[in-house]
Amino acid sequence: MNEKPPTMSDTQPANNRRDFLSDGLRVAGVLTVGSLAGYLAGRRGQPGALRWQIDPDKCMGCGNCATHCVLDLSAVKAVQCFEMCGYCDICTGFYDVGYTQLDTAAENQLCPTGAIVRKLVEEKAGQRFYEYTIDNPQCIGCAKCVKGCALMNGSLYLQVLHDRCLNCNECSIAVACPTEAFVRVPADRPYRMKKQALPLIQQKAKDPSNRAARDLADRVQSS
Amino acid sequence: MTNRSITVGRLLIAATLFIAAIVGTYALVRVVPQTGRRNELPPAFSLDLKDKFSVDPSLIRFTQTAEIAAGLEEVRALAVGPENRIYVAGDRAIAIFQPDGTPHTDIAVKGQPRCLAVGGNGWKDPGSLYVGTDQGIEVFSPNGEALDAWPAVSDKSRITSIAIAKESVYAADAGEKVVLRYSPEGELVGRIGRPDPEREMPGFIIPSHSFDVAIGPDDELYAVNPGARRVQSYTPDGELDSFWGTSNASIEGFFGCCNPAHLAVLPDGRFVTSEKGIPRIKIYTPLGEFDSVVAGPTELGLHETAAGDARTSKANRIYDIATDRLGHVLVLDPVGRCVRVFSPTGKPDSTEEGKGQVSRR
Repeated sequence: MNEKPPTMSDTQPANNRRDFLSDGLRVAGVLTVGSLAGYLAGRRGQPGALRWQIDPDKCMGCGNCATHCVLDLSAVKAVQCFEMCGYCDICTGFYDVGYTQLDTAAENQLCPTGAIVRKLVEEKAGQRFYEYTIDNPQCIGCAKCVKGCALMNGSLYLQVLHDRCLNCNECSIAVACPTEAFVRVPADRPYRMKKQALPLIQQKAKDPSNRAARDLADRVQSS
Repeated sequence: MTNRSITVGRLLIAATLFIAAIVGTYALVRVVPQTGRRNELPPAFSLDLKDKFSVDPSLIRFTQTAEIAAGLEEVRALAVGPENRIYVAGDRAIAIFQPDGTPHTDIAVKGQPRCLAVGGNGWKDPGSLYVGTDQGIEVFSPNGEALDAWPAVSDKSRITSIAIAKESVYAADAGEKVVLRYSPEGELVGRIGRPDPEREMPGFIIPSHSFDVAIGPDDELYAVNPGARRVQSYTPDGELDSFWGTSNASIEGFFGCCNPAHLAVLPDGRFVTSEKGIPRIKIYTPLGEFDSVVAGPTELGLHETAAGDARTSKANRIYDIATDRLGHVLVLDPVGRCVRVFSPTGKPDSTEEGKGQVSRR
């Protein structure tokens, strides 16, 4: 009974060392995991990894793309999806609704800048059928043709062209987009197709001889 | 508490609510993109459909007399069968209604139905159903029992319309760009409308999946050639007999690249057409001359601001049509998911013979 009970000074140093080492290891682990996560997140967040793009299924053709881009001439242009159409005699994306003649006179064209080009493909059943494409430097992205085409087959739609887009951190058009059609997409697949068109191009891409379809299928995605 | 202090308290509450309403409205205008972020483009850069949306009221000779809710999530096709029963295809089912709109029965379909036809009183089995799907044509008895399935003729095949004559079933195939002719037992016995360069006969021009067929009162086959904006008639053995139709945006013609989207025939032989783009349901005489309007966009519940909306969910609203023995025109409204029944209000003017524009080959 004369034995002296252990005092705090006898046990504390050993416990402190153990706790200190254990806490140190925990902190080091958390720091390592945090740094790794931060590094990975930082890599993903690099400006080159993601691009702005328009989801064509959500775009209503409001015209904001023409005036809200920070560039003088918008990076948004109309594109033609030949899987859906692009072959017409009376294209409602090309002709004004009140056309008087089926010619290229300015008053008969829908596009205010004359950015849609037609090329004769064939004459059939008394009609002349044309292929319609976009003259990019002329296109301001006003979407008038997109709305005209939406009356019929919807093969004309807007896309952000990445040879022009500055990939701003906060895209001015995305902020002004009334239907939230602007989305971030991977830089290696920076274009989007309408849902209706993607299966058609994927079907064509299965043909080994159709390299163009394969290249296109690799670069686009659906919404 | 005096009356005066109560009044002051109420005034303070009213003033607070008023200020809160103003602040709330301001915040809404600032936050909701549609309210404040418009483009600064001049009017020449916007699509103006006002003129095309207005239809001269004197041309409208039908009025809507009933509306039947389809009870389906998505409606796709419409037909009228014996006893004027109404058949609506959508989702993965066919909903059948009595002529007064009372639900009769539902039939489950294996594939997604895209079009349908019902055997009339002259058919071997009146009331039997023929439903076009991605896989081909599913056949049902009048009671809804699955009887047969006719496979698609190819991977490209896309059946968009079915019509039943006395001894044949005709199916418009937008993928193959021909009208398929089947025997009542489902044997493929002909392909109508194939291009024949030797006889300078071009095939059907089908830029989209709008390709319709109908049967006239004398059992003749009519097929829409949408890319040519024409209605073409064929002999039973598939020879082109005649065609009519003009291409322009005015009310007399067919608008755009590919119209009419749907076709039906009234008991007196007049045609009913349904156009896409600017939705219009119109009547043409048996000779192909414009007669009158059943409904314009406004009568179909569409505002001009909605037309040209490029969003996939909003664009390309196509109204299927059917007629019954009483001369009603039934319109399937894909937006309201209902059947609108239109009844004639007056006599047509232009049914005299010799005024038409039918071209015969």
